[in-house]
Amino acid sequence: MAGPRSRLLIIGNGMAATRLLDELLLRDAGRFAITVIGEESAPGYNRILLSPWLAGEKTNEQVITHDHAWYYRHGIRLYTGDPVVTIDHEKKQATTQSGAVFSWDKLVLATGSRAARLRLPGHEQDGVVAFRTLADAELLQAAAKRSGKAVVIGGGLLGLEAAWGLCRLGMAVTVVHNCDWLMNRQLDQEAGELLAASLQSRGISVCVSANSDHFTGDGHVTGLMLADGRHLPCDLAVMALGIVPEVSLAKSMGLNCPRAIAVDAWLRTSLSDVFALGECCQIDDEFFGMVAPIYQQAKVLAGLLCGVNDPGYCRETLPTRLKVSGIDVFSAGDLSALEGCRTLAWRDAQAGHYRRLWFRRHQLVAAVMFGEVDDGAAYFELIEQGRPIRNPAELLFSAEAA
Amino acid sequence: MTACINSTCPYCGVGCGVTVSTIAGTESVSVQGDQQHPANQGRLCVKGSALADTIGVNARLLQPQVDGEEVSWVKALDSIATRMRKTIDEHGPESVAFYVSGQLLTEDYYVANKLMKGFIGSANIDTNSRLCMSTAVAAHKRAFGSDTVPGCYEDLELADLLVITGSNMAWTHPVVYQRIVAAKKARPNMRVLVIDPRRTATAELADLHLAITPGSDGYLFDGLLAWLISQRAIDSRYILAHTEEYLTAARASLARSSDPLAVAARCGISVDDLLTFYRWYCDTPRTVTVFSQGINQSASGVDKAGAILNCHLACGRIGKPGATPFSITGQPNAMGGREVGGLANQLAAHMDIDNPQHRDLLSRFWDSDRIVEKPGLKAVDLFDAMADGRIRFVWIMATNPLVSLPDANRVRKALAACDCVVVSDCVDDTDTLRLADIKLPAAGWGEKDGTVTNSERCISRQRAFMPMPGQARPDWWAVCEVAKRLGFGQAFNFESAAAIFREHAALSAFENKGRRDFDIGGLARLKDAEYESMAPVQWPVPSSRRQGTARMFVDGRFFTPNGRACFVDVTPKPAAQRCDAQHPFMLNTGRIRDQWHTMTRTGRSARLLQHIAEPFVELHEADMHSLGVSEDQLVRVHNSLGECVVRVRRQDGQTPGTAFMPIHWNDCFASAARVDSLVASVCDPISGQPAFKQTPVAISPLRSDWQALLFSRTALPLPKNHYWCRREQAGWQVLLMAGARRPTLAELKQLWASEVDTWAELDDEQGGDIRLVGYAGSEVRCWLSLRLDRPEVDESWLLTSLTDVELNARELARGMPATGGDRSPLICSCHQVRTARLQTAIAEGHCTVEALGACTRAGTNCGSCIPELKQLLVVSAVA
Repeated sequence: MAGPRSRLLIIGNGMAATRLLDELLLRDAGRFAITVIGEESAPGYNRILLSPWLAGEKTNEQVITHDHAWYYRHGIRLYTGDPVVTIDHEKKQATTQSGAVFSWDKLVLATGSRAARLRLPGHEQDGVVAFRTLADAELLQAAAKRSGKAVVIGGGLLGLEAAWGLCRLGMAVTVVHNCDWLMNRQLDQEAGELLAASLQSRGISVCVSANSDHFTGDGHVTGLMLADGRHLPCDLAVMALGIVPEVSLAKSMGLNCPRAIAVDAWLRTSLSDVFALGECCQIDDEFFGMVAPIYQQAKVLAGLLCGVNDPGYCRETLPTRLKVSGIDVFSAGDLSALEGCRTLAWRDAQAGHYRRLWFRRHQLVAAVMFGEVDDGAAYFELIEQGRPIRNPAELLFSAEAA
Repeated sequence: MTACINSTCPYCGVGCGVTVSTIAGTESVSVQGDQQHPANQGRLCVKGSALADTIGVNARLLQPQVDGEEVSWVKALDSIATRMRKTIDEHGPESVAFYVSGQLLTEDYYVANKLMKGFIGSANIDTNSRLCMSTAVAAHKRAFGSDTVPGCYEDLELADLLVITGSNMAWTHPVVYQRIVAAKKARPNMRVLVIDPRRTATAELADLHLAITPGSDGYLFDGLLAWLISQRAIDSRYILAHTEEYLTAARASLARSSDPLAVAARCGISVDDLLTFYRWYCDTPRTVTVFSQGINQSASGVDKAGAILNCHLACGRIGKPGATPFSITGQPNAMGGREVGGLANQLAAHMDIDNPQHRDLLSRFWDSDRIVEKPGLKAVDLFDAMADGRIRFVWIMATNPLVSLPDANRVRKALAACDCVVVSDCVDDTDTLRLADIKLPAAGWGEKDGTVTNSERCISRQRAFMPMPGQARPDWWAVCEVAKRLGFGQAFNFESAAAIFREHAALSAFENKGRRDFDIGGLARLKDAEYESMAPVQWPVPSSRRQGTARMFVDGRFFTPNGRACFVDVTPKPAAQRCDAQHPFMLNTGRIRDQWHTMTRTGRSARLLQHIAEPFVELHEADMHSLGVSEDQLVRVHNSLGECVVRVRRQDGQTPGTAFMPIHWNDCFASAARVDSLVASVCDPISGQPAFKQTPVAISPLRSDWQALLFSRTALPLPKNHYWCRREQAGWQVLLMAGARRPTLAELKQLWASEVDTWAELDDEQGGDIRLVGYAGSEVRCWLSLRLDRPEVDESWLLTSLTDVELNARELARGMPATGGDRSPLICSCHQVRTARLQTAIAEGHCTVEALGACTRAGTNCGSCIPELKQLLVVSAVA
């Protein structure tokens, strides 16, 4: 090969970054001299598995996807525990906290996101934590060893998983949610209530329509005071309120960041040779929190970097199929836009099964399932295809029937 | 260890032999056609094939009841005797009556008739054969001097021209029909002509179908006689040697009906078709005319049958192989009933009430001085007499007059007015039983022993192969016990059915000497063991001819005083009632393929209800269009007498302006489907047989906002509805409903809360669909589908799946297997083959009935569905 290899610098070592590495290696392993800088001290791990890890259902080995040896084996330089603090785009250089300087020919921002925090009075006390990183999970695990009471703020997927993990570790957990039902973005009220009832039967208390007011405590949290005056005593308060894209570096470079780093379908930012992918970026108005679209981005970007003609990222709506504390839940379609839809539901009290479908002009537009989710994939496909449905009730009974 | 017993099917008048296999120590029963029986030679129709489904103790009357309380037989018999005695003492012997049935065995029938006409001294015993065969009886007696069916089934196979009039025998007498199908296949030159206002399944076999104006048969056959005379096609030598009154009848007929154009117009057919029929008849010495209810159930039925007999007599086509008129009976033992004098105007053994010699003979034979001297009341009059208080005690056996008699709502009032109503039945609920003061549990088919006589005079044994359940007893025993309590013990001291049969046979031969047609003296000395093993035999069986008699009148001698057959000057008449602006449809009634009478037996067989599960009215497409109704929509069929609510079925075999409803459904099975509640009690003046076939009615659409299908373990309270239809299948109550205001999910759950502790439900407020599966513990108690249109399910799948613990409620609620299921109409009940399967086979190139049978097995057992298979092939070929 003539001349030195092109230098590729990746800032961030989360799941977007590791998947990009995988994709690059698949295409043209020797094309770039690759450097990855990670803020966390851990090498590549699967963030999705943190909840089961916390619940003791997964081991460390199962969570770590790319260990140090892997980077070494593939000739990739990995710097961990030392975040980049400044970037000079003119010089094409990045400097870390410890002062290390890295030059690049091409730069990929994979800075991900941070856990959203409620800046309530008392939030800076010990025992008020987020649940986002492996370090957070380790902290929670340690806290749980002392047992006692925990409050989880946020009745979304992450919060419920944290609650289940803590419950499994022996803590008495209360989930506090500011909407009328749990997982309100993915579930309708009935499914949300079934989920709450099911969690309660597994020993997790649920407070819905509950607004947090402040944390009590004397340096270490002792409880959460709700706006309605109820006080929930706790030794541990976990905030699971979603994510905020991490864009401070991008902004400092002058990149266009409406809420996240604006990129086009090929993950190109407004600056040449600078790319962004994952939770830190946005394409038009689309933000990313699920793994599947990010993996698609990794593919697109790897292709672009290797000079392959790629059609670019293309939005795919995705179903949510999840297991919360062993309860199967499925959701597909946009539940916030169901005004005027025809809806029908199936409930089976004995089996604890529930499913509801929404139709607009004979097309399936959304589906929620609780307890039994085998038909989920088929419903999802129908929502995507927009095929007219002759008999909605038949479809409710069996996705195959359509 | 399997035991095989030969018996006789209890349904239609074909009287097929069956071989019943039972396995010792189990309840396993299977029923096959008896290979040796002359009537069917191993064949069996779908109803007969399903006999095993209908036996057992479920829904049986098992204990006598008096005034609503279960009592012992002794108490019940005492009560009957006391009430009967009291009624006779206070109001005379004319104030008591028996109303019996062609379902009774000859032995039951014999003792009932003997008690009433010989000892109580009243002739008020009539039978549901009045509704079925009394017209043929009267016509036979007028022409032949006796109630004699001249021919046999073999004649139908030997005929070169087979005229079938007023009979959908493909459905009503399937095994005889299959014999004809086989004969026609073997001899393609054999011609079949079907005369019926409807194009029925039977017409599929016809070389020519005459869709005559309802009720115009009399004109057709009167015109035939005139034509035969004008063509010199009559047998003058036969007429001269063996008949009388020819000239009177011939002159009248020529004066009335010698213009074929006028006759064709009267009958509503083309003159070409009319003359084709007449020419065929003219040219075919071997002609058989089969007639049944279309002729019999008419206000001028005796004359219609008379017109048919006149033609056969004029051509001498009687008593010869392949040449005979042939009345085919509806019931298994209609003929046995006639033999013992079950009709109110007969004496036992084909003797006559108004014949003093016959009365004297009977008086001596029975050693009774109370023999009746004048005829009793015929069925319709009998119930009128209850309504006005002339009859105050009635004992009804093995029949359901509340459903089967015309103006059935009047019958309800009559029974309500009658002081004491005794009902013997083997099932625990019929419309009639609901009005009984005293209920007697009768032995049913498979439990009782005796004989029946089929349409070709063949006497065969019904044999018991199961014990009688509970307190059930044979009817003959109950009658004899009451007779003993009334003080006639001497004459009713029978220890067995065999003993009764011997007396019956002895009476038929008593001082007979060939003067009376019914003589089975050859069987009068059967020992019990011989009776037990008695082979089917056609009467007469005089001592001199114990092998029986296939054909009568072979020698041209008849049973009139002078031995000559008698031409009758008939008077053709149109239907007794006419349509008008308010009642624009002429309603016809009849049987469907897989049901029998009022469904007390066949209604218990799941597979028999799969062919047609609901009461219906059949209409021509043009009429449906003008009424603005579509297939399966509910309509009201009504007139001044009553109203039925049934579904519309498109039937283009129906002439526009006519309608057809089945006779089977009743208040036990549907909210309002007793077709006889619409039929006026207009009867033939001679036979007293009601005109069931022509009733003017109005039809109006009934708008339903919901329809539902409910399966439940017990009878559940129903939401407010305007239609329901019930049946029982495999331990489930199956109910179809329809109504105006849709009940809510919450209302339904509330209604059935006592049966159910957890629900699985489809909630579709906007779409109007409700599906409910109700559980008590892990057991399904009820299953409901409610929607705008009639729910569609794979019923056989559902019936087996409701008890399948592997399936969850959602899978059950679908009502069909995950792999799709076949909901298309069932064609072959025997092998459970549906339309969709057949259409696939046809599309694959199986284009004959035989090929379809080889491919799908459809039509290969009883063959009842072959006409429908043919129709399907025709339709598919057009498409």
